[in-house]
Amino acid sequence: MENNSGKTALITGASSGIGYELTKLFAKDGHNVVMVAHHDDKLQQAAQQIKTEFPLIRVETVSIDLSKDGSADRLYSIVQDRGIQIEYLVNNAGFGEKGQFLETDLDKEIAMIHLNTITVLTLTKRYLREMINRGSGRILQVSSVAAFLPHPLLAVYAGTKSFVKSFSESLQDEIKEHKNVTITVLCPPPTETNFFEVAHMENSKVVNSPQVQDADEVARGGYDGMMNGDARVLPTLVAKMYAAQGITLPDSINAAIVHSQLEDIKK
Amino acid sequence: MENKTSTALITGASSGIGLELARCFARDGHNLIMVAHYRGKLQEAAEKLHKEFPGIRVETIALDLSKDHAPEKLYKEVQHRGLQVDFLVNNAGFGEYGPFYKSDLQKELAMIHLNVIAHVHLTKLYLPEMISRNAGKILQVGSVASFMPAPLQSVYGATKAFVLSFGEALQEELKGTKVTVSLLFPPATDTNFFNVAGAQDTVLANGNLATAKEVAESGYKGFMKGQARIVPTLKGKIEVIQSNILPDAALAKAMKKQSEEIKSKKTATKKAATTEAPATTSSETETPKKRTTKTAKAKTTETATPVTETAPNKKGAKKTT
Repeated sequence: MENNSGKTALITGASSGIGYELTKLFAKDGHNVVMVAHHDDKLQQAAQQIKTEFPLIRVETVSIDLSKDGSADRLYSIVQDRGIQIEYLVNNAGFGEKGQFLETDLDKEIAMIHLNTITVLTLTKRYLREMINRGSGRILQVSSVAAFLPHPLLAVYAGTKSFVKSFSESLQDEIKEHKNVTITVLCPPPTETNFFEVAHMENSKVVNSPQVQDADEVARGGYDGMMNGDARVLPTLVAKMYAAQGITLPDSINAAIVHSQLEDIKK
Repeated sequence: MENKTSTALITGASSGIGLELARCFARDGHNLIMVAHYRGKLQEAAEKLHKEFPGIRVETIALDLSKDHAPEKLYKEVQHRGLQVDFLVNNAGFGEYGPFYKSDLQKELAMIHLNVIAHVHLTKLYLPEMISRNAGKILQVGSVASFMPAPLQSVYGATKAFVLSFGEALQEELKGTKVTVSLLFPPATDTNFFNVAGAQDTVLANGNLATAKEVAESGYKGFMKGQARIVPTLKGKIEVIQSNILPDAALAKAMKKQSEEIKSKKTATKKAATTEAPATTSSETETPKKRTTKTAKAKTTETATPVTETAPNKKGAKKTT
C-alpha cells in the first residue's frame, strides 16, 4: 500500500541498520520520510534505494553530525525551512564504545552522550511541543536492553540508554491526557548492524552468539508498537529475556553476567 | 582527630549534601578540596569548616562545572596546587521542574553537562591515578530518582538513571582492584535543590524531607566502608524497594502526584496526593517520589537568592520563607 498518506516521518541514523529498516516500513505505508544521518554518501545511497522501491513517497535527506553542539536545533530549522511538518519522530541515531572505562576514549564518549541523550532530548522537546499543540504525533525513542542491566565494558553507552528509557517513561506519564500523542520506547537486543564495528566489539562473545537479532525484525517490532501507541517494545524473545533478567536478578549479578558476555571470545 | 595527609575533592561543596559530606571528611581529619560554582558562597562555607576543623587544609576552587572543559580546568588546577585526590565525590548536580514540553531547554542542557558529562569526565580524569596507586575511593551521587520515572522532573531523573547504570558498570569493571566506587541514592532532602529547580511549591518539597546531615553522614559511613550502594534513611530504602516491585507506570503516576504543586500550602494536600501508591508504607507523602529536586519553575534558578549555585546538591531546596 503506497498511496501517500500525506504524513512525514523523521528518522535519525537512517542510512543503515535499524534506522534504515524503520524508514522502509514508513515508506511502505505511504509516509514521506526525512532521512537523517552523518555521512552524506551513505545517506544518499540509502535514500536512493528507498526512492526506487517506493516511488510514491517524498524522500528528503539531511546529512548532519548530530553529536555536535547545536546540531539538533540546526536539524530542526532545516526541516522547518523546507516546510515539512513531522508527524512521526524516530530518535534512533546512536553509537557505543566498548572497553574498560579506564581505557576508553573520553572524546568519543562525550560525543556519544551528545548524540544519545542531548540530541534525543532536544529533538523531543521541539517536536513534542508541536505535536501537543497540533493534537497528534508519535515519537519512537530507541533505547536498548542495556537500559535494564548494567553493562561493564559499555558503561557510558548503557548509561545513555538508561537515560533515554527513564526520560521517555517520565514523559509518557506527563502527556497521558493527550491521547493522540504517543511516545514509544524501543529496547532492541544485540542487533546485526554496524553498531558492533563502530563500538570495536566484533570479537565480543555476545556478538558471536545466537543472541544477535536481525535489524528488520527489530524495526518491525518498533514500528508496529509505535503505530499502536505502545509504551514499550521489547522486540524478539531475546530482548524480553534480557529485560526479565534485568528486572529479576540483582544488579551485581547482572553486571557480572554481561561483563563476561561482552569480553572477547578466547581464540 | 589525627592529621591525615589524605584529601577529598567534593563538587557542589558549598551547601547541602556536598557541604555536609565535606564536614564528615573534615571531622575525620581529611584535607578538603571544595568545588562549587559561586566563589562567595564557597568561601563562606570553606571558612566555616576551617574554623570548625583548624587542623586540616581546606582548598577551594570556584568554577562552573557545566561548562565545556571545566573538569579539565579543575583537574589542572588541583595538579598545579600539588594536591593528590584520594577521595573523589561527584556530588554537584541540579534539577528542573515542570512538564517537559514547556520546561527550559538551556537549563536542561546545562544539567546534562553537569550531572552526566562532568560526572563522567571527572571520573575519567581521576580513575587512572587511583588505579596506578591501587588506592582511592569514588562516591557517585545518584538519587532515589535513579530507580523510577520522574514526571515533571524528566531530565533530572534521566541523569540520575545514567549515574546508576554507569556506576554499577564501573563497580564490576573495578572488581579485583582496591579502588572502590560507591553509589549514594538520597531521597528527597532539605537543601536548595528545590529552589534551583523551581519546585518549592510541590507536595514533595513541603513534605518530610531528609536532612542533608543525615544523608551525608549515612553516605560517608557507607563510602568509607566501600559499600557499593548506599540508600540513606528508612524512607529512601522503602522507595528503592518499591521501585523493584511496582511497574514503572505506577511509580511514575505516584511520583507525579508528589511533584504537583500545592494550590495553597495546606498540609492536607500532602496526604491526598499519596493515595495512589499502593505500596506506600509509613509516611504517605514520600513513597512514590524519589525525585527530590524537581523544581516548579525553571526561571527561579538564577533569581532565587538561596540558590546561587546552579548545582545544589541534588536534594531539595530550602523551603522558601
